[in-house]
Amino acid sequence: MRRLRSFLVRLVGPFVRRRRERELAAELDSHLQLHIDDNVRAGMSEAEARRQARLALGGVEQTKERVRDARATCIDAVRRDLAFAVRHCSRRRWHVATIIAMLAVGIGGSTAVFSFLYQVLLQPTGIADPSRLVEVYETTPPKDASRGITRSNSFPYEAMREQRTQNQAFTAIGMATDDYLALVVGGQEARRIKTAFVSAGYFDTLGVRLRMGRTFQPGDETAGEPIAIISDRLWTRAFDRDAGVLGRDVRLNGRPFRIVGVAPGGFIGHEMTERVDVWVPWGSKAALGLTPSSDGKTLARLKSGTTLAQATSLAGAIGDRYLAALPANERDGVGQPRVRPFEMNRNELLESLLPQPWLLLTGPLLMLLLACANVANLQLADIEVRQREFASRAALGASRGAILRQVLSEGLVPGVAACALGLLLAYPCMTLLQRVPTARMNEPRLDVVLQPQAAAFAMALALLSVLLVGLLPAIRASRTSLADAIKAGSGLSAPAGRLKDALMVLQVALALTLVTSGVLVTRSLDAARQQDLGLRPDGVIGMRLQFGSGGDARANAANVQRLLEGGRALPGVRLATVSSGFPLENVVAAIIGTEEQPQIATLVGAGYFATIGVNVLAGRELASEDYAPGARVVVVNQTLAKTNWPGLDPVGRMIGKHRVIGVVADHATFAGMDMHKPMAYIHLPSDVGSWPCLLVRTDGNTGALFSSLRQLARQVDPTAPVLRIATLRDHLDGLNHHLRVASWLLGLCGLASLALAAMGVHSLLSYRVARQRKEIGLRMALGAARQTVVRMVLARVLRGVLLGVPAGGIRSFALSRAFRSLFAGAAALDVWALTLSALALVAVAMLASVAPSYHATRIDPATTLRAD
Amino acid sequence: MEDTADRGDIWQGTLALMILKTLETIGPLHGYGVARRIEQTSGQRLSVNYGTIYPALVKLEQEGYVAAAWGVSDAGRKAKYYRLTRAGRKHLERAAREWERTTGIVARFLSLAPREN
Repeated sequence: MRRLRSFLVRLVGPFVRRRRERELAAELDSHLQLHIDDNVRAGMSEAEARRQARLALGGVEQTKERVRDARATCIDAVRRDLAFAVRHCSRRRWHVATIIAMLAVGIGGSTAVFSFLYQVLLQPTGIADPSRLVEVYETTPPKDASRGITRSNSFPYEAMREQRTQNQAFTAIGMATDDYLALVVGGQEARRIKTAFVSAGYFDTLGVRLRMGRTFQPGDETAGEPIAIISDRLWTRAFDRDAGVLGRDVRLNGRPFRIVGVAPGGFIGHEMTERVDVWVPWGSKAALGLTPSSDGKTLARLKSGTTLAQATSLAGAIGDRYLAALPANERDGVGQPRVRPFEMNRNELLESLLPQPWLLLTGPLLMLLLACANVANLQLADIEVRQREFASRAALGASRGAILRQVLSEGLVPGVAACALGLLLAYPCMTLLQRVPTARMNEPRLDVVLQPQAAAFAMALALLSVLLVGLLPAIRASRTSLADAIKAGSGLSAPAGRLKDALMVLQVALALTLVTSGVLVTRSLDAARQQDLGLRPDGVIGMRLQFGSGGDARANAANVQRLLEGGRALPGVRLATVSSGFPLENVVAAIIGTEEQPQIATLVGAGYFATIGVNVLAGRELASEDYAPGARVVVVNQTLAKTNWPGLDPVGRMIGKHRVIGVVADHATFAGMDMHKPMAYIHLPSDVGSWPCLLVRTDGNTGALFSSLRQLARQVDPTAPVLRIATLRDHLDGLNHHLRVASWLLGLCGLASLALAAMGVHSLLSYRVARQRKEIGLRMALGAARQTVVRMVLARVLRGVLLGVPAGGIRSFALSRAFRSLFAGAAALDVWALTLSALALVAVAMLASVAPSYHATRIDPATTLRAD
Repeated sequence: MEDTADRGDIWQGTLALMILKTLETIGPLHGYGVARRIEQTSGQRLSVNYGTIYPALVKLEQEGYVAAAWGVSDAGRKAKYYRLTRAGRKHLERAAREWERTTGIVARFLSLAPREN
C-alpha cells in the first residue's frame, strides 16, 4: 500500500518538477541560513560560519542530486536522460544527421525488401492446414510394354465425381482449371484477370472460409447458371468493399455473372503463381465460349487419422470399380487414380515475380550493415572523446546506472528518428519493388504492403547497433576516476582502438562492394540499351488488346480490321499495322520450309517493317493482299538471304512452298536472341489470334495519341481489356526492367555508401584531431613540420582504406560472377572497373580528410598546451 | 568519498527511524533542526553530512509518514517544517518495537562470554 502510494506520488513528480526544484533550493538555502545563524551566535565570523555550514551540509549540488535520486521514478530518470540527449544531439547536428541518414536508408530499403519477401513467402494463404491436403492424379498404363507409365498432373472430372461420392478417406475433394478472361464491372474499364473454374468442394477442400456468401454446390457444376465468387482484392478495387455486393453482376467475356460470394483476403488460389480474382463453377466454360475441360488439378483433404497409403488404396479400388463398369471398348487409356501430398510451392511465385530477390536484398542489407558499422564507429569515437565528461559526472555523484542510461538515450534519440525516417523511405522503395514484376502487364500481380515484422526487424537491428556499441566504453568511462581522466588527456585505449580500426576496414569493404555492384549493373544496363536492335522505335506506339469473347474467329477478324482502320484514321498517325504482339515479345512464329530444312517464320501484319522502322533492302514487304488462300509469300532477313542464296538475288526464290518477295535488314525479333540469325516473316492470319497488338507510327507527338487509342479500343470492343499500351521505346526499355531496377537500387546504394564512407571518415578524423590536440600541439612545439602532422592524421585512414579495399574487391568479384549468371549480357567486372571504384573510394576518403587535417595543422601549440 | 558513502549506507537503515523519533519527541521541525538534534542526541558520535537528511525526508514524505509545510523559525527565518502524520506515528511504534527486539537479541548474543577451554 505504502509502496503504491509512494509510487503514485513519484509518478506525478515530473509534472511539478520545476516547483519542486525551486522548493528544494529554498529549503537548502534556509538550512544553510539557520546553520550560519547558529554558527555566528557561537562566535564565528560571518565568512567562517558560512564555510562551516556548507561543509557540514556536504555540498549543495550533491545534496540536490541525492534528493532528486530519492524522488525519481524510472520514468522521470528516462525523461531527464532523453531531454539531455535531445539537447546533446542538437548541439552536434552533423554527427547526428549522419547517423540518422545512414540508418534511415538502411532501414527503409531493407524494410521494403523484407516486406516483399515476407509477403511472397510467409503470408497466410487462407488455406487451412495444408499438411492434410493431397493431390489426386492418375497414371495411365502403357499401350505396349516397351513404353513406361504415363503420369498426369490432372484428373478427369468424371473420375473425380466417383471419388467424391465414394472415397471415405477424404473429407472433401475439388478440382480447378483456369484461364484469362476479360472482366468488366459496371461502367469501369475492362481488365484482364485470371479466372478459375472450380468444382463444388474446391473451397471446402482448401479449408477456405468465404468472407461472405456461399460456395458452389454440386448442382452448380452442370446447371450452367452464371454465378461467381470474387476475390477480396476485386471486392476492394471494383466494389469499394460494398457489403451489398452479393447479387450484383460482373461481366466475364461480355456475359453477366451474379456474385454469390467473396473470398477472404490473402487467398489467391491454390497455385499461388499468379493471383486468381474470380472463381466460377466448373461447367461455365461452354457458356463463355471456351472449350470445356474434361480434367483439371484435383485436390482432396484427408480425414484425420487416415494415411496417404489408405487414401491411395481406397482411391485405387474406386478406380477399379469404375473401370470394370465401363464397356470393354472404352477402357483403353483410362488411368489409375493415385494420391500424393500436395506441395504449395511458394518459391515458384517468388521466382515468377522476381528472379533475383537476393540481389535486391543485397543492396539494402549491405547498406544497413554499413550504416550500423558507421554508426558504431561514430558512437565509439564520440564516447572516447567524452571520457572526461563521464568521469566528471561520476565524480559529481551520478551513479554508473545513470551514466549508462545517458549513453543509451543518446543512441536512442537518433535511432528513433532514423526509424521514423526509414519507415517513410520504405514506401517509395515498395512502389519500386511492386513494379518490378509488372513491367509487361498493366496490373501488379502482388500488392506489396509494409509488413510490421519486416520493419521491426530492420529497426531492431539498427537500434541495437546504436545502443549496444556505446555500452562498453560507457561502462569503462563510469569507472574512470576524474583525476585519471584529466591526467590521461589523450591516448586511445588499445581494445577500443582496434575495434574502431576493424569497423573502418569493414566500412570500406562494404562501401567498395556496393560501389562496384552499382557500377557493374549500370554498365550492364547501358550496354543493353546501347544495343542496336536494327529498328527505329522513336515515335511508335503499341496497344495490345484481349479480344476473343467467345473465341469466334470471324468476329475477331472483323474487330482487328476495325482496329486497324480506326488506327490509320487517327490524326497524327502515319502508318499502322497489326502484329501478334509487341516487337521482341509475345511474338507468334510458325515453321515453314521443308522437313529437311525447316525455317522459323514470324507472323507479322502488312506494313510491319515500315511501321517499326526496318529497311527493306530488296523487293517489297508484306501487304494486305498477301493474306489470301493460296498466296504463300515470305519476306526474309539479310542473313537468311546470304546463307541460302549467297551472291544471288533472293527475290522470287522458294522456301518450301513460300515464295520470297523481299529482303529486310537484320533486326531483333525475339528478346534475347541474336538478331543476325536467319529469320523469315509471313503474313498473319486475319484474326491474329485473340491478343492482337496495334502498332502505329506517329509524326512524333506520341503523348496525345494514348487517349485516342484507348478510346478506339473501347469503340471496337468495350469488353476487350487493354493489356498494355506503351511507346515502343518504353517497351524496349521495359525489357531491361530488371536490370533497370537493379541499377537504380544498387546505384543509389553505391552513391549513398560513398557518401557514408566520406561522412564516416570525416567524423572519425575530426574526433581524432580533437582528441589528439594536445599531442599534436606538443609535437609542433617540438618542431614537427605541418606535413608530419598531416601524415600522422592520415596514416590511420589510409591503413583502414588499404586493408578494406582488397576485402571489398574479393567480395565484388564473387558478386559479379553471381550477377552474370542471372543477367544475360551483364558486364563482367574487370580490373579496370574495380580499380576505378577503389580509386573513387580512396579519393572520397582523402577528400573527407582534408578538413580535419587542415584543422590539425592550424593547432596553435601555445594555446593547446596552456589549455586544461 | 568512498568512506562517507559506506557510512551513509549504514545510516540509511536507522536514519528514518531517528528522524521519526525526533519529530515525535520535539514536534514539527525543519531539516536543519532534525539533523542537529540527531547529532546532539547521539552525543556527537554520529557526524555525517547534514545533507543526507534530505533524501531520507523526501522518502518519508512520499510514504506519507511525515508531512511538510513552510513556516517561520523562532529567529524569524523561513523554513520548511516536517511533522509526524498518524501513519508515521504508527509506523514509528512498530519500527521501534522491531528495533528493540532485534537489538535485544543481538545484544544477548554479544554478551555471551567466550567458553574457556
